[in-house]
Amino acid sequence: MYQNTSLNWNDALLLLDGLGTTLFIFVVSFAAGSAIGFVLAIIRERRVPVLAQLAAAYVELFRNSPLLVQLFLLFFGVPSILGIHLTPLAAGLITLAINTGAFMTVIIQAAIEEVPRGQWEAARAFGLGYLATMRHVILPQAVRTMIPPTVSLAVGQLQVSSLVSIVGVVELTKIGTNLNLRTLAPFKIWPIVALGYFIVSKPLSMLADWSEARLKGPAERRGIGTDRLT
Amino acid sequence: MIEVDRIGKSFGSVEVLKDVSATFADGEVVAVIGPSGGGKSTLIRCINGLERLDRGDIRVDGRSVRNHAALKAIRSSCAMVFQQFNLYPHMTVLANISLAPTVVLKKPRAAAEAKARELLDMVGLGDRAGAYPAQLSGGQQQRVGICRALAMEPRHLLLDEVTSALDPEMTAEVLTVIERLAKAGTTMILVNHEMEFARRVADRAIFMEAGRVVADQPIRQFFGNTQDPRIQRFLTKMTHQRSEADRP
Repeated sequence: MYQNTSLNWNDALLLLDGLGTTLFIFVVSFAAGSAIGFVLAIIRERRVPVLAQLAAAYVELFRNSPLLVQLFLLFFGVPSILGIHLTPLAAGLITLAINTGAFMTVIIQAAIEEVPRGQWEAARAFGLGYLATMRHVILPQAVRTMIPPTVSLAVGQLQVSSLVSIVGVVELTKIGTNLNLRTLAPFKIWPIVALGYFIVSKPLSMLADWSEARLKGPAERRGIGTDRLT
Repeated sequence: MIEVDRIGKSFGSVEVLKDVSATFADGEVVAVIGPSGGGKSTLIRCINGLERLDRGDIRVDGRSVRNHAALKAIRSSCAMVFQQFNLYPHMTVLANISLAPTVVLKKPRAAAEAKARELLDMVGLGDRAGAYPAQLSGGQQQRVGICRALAMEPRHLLLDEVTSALDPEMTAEVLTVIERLAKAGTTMILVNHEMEFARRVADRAIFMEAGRVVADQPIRQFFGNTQDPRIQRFLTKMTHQRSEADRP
């Protein structure tokens, strides 16, 4: 009698709200993680003493431990030591950002290092400073290399963001869990939740394919007929 | 004026430059010649600070390359052309040429692009301003590389084996451009393997072997009556026993 096994419009709104929260968590943590990755990649690339080693330790630590453990550490562990209280959402955002940062550091560093040495030399030899060289010459080329691994990472991070539901963040998976408890209709609820992730994830990879093709443009046109040699 | 003062440079345990000294006057075209691995490229890469000196000093128009603050000024007065062109592949020819003038010399974009077009016309590539490097042949890319260097309106031009990656036909088109610049009085230090060309355009030859300057002579003297057996051996090898009669 107390079980309402059918889904109603209110549930649909709840799911949408959950999707919104998931999207928010994903976008904010991925942006923050990319910023962390960018700064650390530069520190690693420039071999800044001490900081570069610290960055390396951070990368290894966070790439080689489960996100869930990192989340527990931050949500339960850190408050017990520092005496500060983190809301589930804050803990989830910070954990995901730090975790993404570790992976992005590696992706960005590898992409920067893949740009041929001659490109650095050509820019530096004409008097461009480090930042100008990065901005005009190195990064535009590194971005091309970065896109595929960044998209796989993004798709993965979107999905593991569901783990923050465990510490009580009310996002898509948490809403799904709640509705599932009430309706006891897992075959109805979870496909809907999965679809929610899919409609964020799919355009992401489509966007990646599109931008990759677009960025490749000039170099790809090499050797095609009329444009070639005179 | 570039003064190279007893410089030394090692890569790991390999000593590439041993106590090298030389002076390059304004308006002078100097060919740096010698067998591979003799330190020629390293020498000119030290002049604009692409390689750091271990010993000695280089002064470009009075500024020391050891002075970090002066490096930017030195680099914008010594433009370099590279063996592998090193054009920026993601930029058009026009953007390649106008990047450093706008960013380093703070030239307005319109002026930098006008200058770039003028230079492209000079090297016969006026119609390729919108092309990307990958759409050009090696010879065309290197001519763009030369334009990119000239766009800085440099006092000195450093040419690092600029034709080594090109086939003979393309080499000829690049050398034609360089020869025209030499005749126009551009100061040039040119590291190269084209002996015939060096003899035609250079005022002076510096012969380097195993990290040392073996000879530093006016070009006629260098090719005409050198007594040094090392140079003779090298010249014989490089010019394929060309007869005296060919010489100008």
